[in-house]
Amino acid sequence: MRSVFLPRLSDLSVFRVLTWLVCAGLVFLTIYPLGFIGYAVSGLEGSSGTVGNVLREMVSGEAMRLLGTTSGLVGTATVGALAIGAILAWLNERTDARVGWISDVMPVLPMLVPPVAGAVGWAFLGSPIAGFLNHWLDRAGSLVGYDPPAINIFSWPGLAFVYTIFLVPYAYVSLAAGFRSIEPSMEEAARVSGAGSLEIFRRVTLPSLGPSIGGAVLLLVAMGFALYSAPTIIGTIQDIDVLSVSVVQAMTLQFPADIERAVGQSLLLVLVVALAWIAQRKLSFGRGHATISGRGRATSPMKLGGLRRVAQAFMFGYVALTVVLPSIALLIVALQPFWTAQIDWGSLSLDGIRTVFSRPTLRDSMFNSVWLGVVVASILMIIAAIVSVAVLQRRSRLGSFIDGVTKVPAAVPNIIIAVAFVLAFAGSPFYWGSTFTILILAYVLVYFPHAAVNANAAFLQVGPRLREAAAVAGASQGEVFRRILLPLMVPGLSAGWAFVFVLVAGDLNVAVLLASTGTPVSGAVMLDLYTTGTYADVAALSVLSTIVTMSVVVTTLVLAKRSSTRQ
Amino acid sequence: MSQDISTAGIAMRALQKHFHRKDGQLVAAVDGVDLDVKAGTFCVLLGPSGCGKTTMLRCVAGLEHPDGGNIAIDGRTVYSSADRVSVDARGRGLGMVFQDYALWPHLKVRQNVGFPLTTRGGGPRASKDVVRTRVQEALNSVGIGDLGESSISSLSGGQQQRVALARAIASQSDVLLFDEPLSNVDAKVRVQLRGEIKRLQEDLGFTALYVTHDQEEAMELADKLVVLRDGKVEQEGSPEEIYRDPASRYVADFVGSADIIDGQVTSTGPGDAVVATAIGPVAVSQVPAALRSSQEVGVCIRPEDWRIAREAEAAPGINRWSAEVLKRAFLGAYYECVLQIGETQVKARFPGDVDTPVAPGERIDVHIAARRVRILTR
Repeated sequence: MRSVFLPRLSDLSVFRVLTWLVCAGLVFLTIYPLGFIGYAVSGLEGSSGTVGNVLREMVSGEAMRLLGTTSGLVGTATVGALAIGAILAWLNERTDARVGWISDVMPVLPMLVPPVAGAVGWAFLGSPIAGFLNHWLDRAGSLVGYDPPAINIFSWPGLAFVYTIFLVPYAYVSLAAGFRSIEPSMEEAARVSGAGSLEIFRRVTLPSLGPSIGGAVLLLVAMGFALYSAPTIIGTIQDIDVLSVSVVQAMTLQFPADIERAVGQSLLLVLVVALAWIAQRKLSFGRGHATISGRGRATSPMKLGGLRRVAQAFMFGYVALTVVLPSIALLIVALQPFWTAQIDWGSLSLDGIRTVFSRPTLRDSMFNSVWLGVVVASILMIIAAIVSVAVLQRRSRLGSFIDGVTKVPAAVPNIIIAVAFVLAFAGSPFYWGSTFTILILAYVLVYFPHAAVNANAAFLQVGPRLREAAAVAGASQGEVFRRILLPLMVPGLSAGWAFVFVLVAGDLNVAVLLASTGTPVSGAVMLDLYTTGTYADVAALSVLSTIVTMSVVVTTLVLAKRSSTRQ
Repeated sequence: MSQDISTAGIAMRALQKHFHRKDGQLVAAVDGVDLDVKAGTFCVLLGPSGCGKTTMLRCVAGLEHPDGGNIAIDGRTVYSSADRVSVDARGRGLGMVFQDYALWPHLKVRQNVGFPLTTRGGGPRASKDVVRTRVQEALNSVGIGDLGESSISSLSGGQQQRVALARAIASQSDVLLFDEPLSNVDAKVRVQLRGEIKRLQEDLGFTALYVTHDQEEAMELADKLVVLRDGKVEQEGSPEEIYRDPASRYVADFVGSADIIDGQVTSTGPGDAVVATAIGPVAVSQVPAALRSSQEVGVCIRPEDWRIAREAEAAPGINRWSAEVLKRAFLGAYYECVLQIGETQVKARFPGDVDTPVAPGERIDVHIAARRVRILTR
C-alpha cells in the first residue's frame, strides 16, 4: 500500500533500491556457485555415471578414513578449545584474575597471527630435528642431567594441539559474550539463596550458557573441518591426512582436476557441518537466549585468593604458548640465513626482512593481503549493516528468506565455497579465474556471516524507539540509516571490520584455490615458500604480516573507541 | 464509504488493528474504535496494559499499520483502508514523546531537539538560524535553556524527558502524541512534569493525545478522558463525568476506587429506585432511564461517600447501616477503613480528625446519600 502523499523520488526509494541490490547480490553469490556444484556434478561429460562416481567418492574407504582422522582431530580440538576458552572467559568475566583491559585482549591475540604463520611458527618450535623447543629443552635438561623426550609437533597429538590453539579464541569470544549476557542478578540471587561458587556455576551459569556453548560448538566444528593451514603444514609430513587437504589436492595436484573426488569429499564436509548445525538447533530448541539488560552493572568478581596468581599464570602462559613462542621462533628464523636450532647471534641480520621487500611476489602478496583485507572488510560491514536493517527492522518473509540464504555460507566450509567459485566463475561466461574479482567476491561471501553477526549485534543495540522517533520527526529510511543508525552502530561495526580484516589478511582457505601467481596473497605465498623449504623467507613474511595485521587492528579499535567515547 | 471526518484535531473511524499471538491466535488490539479529539484539546487514553491504548496511539503516529478504518489529522486523511491511503510516519507532521525518551545518544541536546527541523519530511528544511532560534525557544519553554550543548548521557531522567518534550514542541506540530511519557521518571519529577505538559498545551494550543495507565495523571491532564477495554472505547467524557457517572463496573473499578454490591431492583419510581442487596435495600436517586423492576444490577459506592451518621442526621432506616470497623490505615488527611456490614465488606474513607471513632473493632453507624449511589447495569 503506497502512500499518495509521499514525495516523488525521495531518498527512501534510493535506500530501498540499494538494499534490494545488496540483498539480490548476496543471494546470487550464495546460490549460483553452490548450485553450480550440483550442476557440475550432473553435467560432467554429460554422463549419468558421474553422479554415481561423486557419491562413490563420498562414501569410499578413503573418504571414510579421512573423515575419521578429521573428526578425531576436530573433536579433540573442539573439546580442548571449549575447556580452555571457558576457563579464560570465566576468569575474565567473573573473577578477580583480570588484569585490566589486557585480559580482554589476551585470549583473542592468537587471531592476529595469520593461521599459516602460526602453524609455521609451531613447525619451527616443535620439529623433532630442528625444533627450538626441543633444543631448549635439551639444553635445560643437560643442566640437570635429564634427557627429556623429544616433542614432535608433526605427530597426531601435535597436530591436535595446533588445531586447539587455533580454535580457542573463537570459543572464548562466544563464551565470554555468553557470560556477559547473563544477568548478574541471576547469579547473585543464587548466592543469596545459599549456593556456593561451584554450585552457582553448575546450576545457574552453565545452563544459562547453554545457547552460547551450542553456538560455539557449531562454530568450532565448522572452522575445524575447514582448517587447511595447520594440517597441510604440520599434518602432511607424517601423512596425517584430513578432508580439507584432500579436497584441495584433488583440485590442484593433478591436471585435469579430479572434480569427482573434490566434489564428493566436499559434500561429505558439508554434510558433517550440516549435521552439527541441525544438532545444535535441536539442542538449543526451546531455550531462551540470555538477554542483555543493558544496565551494565558488573557483579562483584569472585575472589580467587591464592589461586589468583595461578589463574593469571594460566592466562599469561596461554598467550606465551599461542603467540609469544611462535612469534619468537618466526623472528629468529627470519633473522637467520637459514633455519637451525643453534642460534648464531653473530649471523643475525635484517637481510631476510629486506628480501620480502626486494622480491616482487613476496612484497606484492603482503600488499595485496592488506588491501584486500581493507576493501573486503569495508564492503562487508556496509553490506552487513544494510542487510541487518532490511532483515531485522522489517521482519518480513523476504527478510527471513535473505537471512536464511546468507547464513548458508556459515554452514559450508570455506574451502568448499572456493571450490564452488572455481567451478562457477573461473570459466565461461565470467572468466574471472586468476583475478582479484573472484577473490574479493569469494571473501565477501565466505566472511559475510562473520560481518553479519557483528552488524546485527550493532543494530540490535540501537533500540527501536530511536528509529521511530526519527521517523515521526520526518526522517526518511535513508536519513534514519545515515543520521541515526550508522553513527550509533559504529563501535560494533568497527569491531566487525577488524575481525573481517584479520580473517581476510591471513586467509589461506580461499586463497589456496583462488589466488594465482598474478594475484598473490600472503597466506598462499607463505604456504608455497614453506613447501619449497625457503624457511627464512616464510618466516620474514610471517613476521611482517603479523606486525601489519596487528597495527591495523589496534589502530582501528583505538579510533573506534575514541569515536564512541566522544559521544 | 468515505465519511466526512475532515475536522481539525484527530478523528478515527472504525479503527482496527490485529496482532497474531505466538500461539497463532488473532487478537484485536484496536477493535473498531470511533474517536474525535477536538483541535486544541487534551485527550487521554486510559486503561490497563494490554487494552490497546499504545497500539492506537502508534496507529495515529504511523508507526503501526492498521487493518481497517480511517484516521484523519487536522482534516487530512492519513489512513483509510477503503481509499487505500496510508501516509507513513515521516509524512504525518506529528510530534511524539516516547516512554523511554528515545533520545539519540550520539547527538547533543541541541541536535536532538533540532532534528525534526532538519529532516525533509516536513517540507523544505529550515535555515540554520531558524533552527537555532526555535531550538532555543523549545529548550527555554521546558526550562532547560542552558543544556543545549550537553550530551544526552550526562542528563538525569527528568532532564532527558524534558529534552524529548522540547523535541516534540520544536517540530511545531499542531498535534503531539505522548506514549506514557512519565512512567520512567521518579514520583516527584512526574508530578512536576505533568503540570508543565498541561501548561505547555494550554500556552501553545496543540492537540494532545496522551496514553497512560495512571488514573491520577489522566484525571489531572485530560479535557477528555477515554477509558479503553480490550481494544474498545468503554467510556469517554470529562474526568468528572467518568468518575461520577461510570458507565460500567470496569470503569468504576479502574477509575478511582469503588465497591460494587450486586443486587436486584425492587421498585422504580420517576428517577429513583430501590435495590435489594446483601446489605439490605439501597435507595438510589439517579437511575438509568431503561431500568426495569427486578433487573440484576450493581450498586456502586465510592469510599469517600460514606458518612458516619449522627443520631440527628438522615431519616432512620434509609441507606443507614450499623458497621464494624475491621481495619484502619491512617493516611494523614484521612483514614482508610474496611467496614463489615452484615456479611459484606466495603472500603470507606473518613476525615483524619482525632475524634473520628474508627478504631478497629468499634461499631459505628454509617450512612450514604441516595444521590451518591450509582446503578451499574453492565
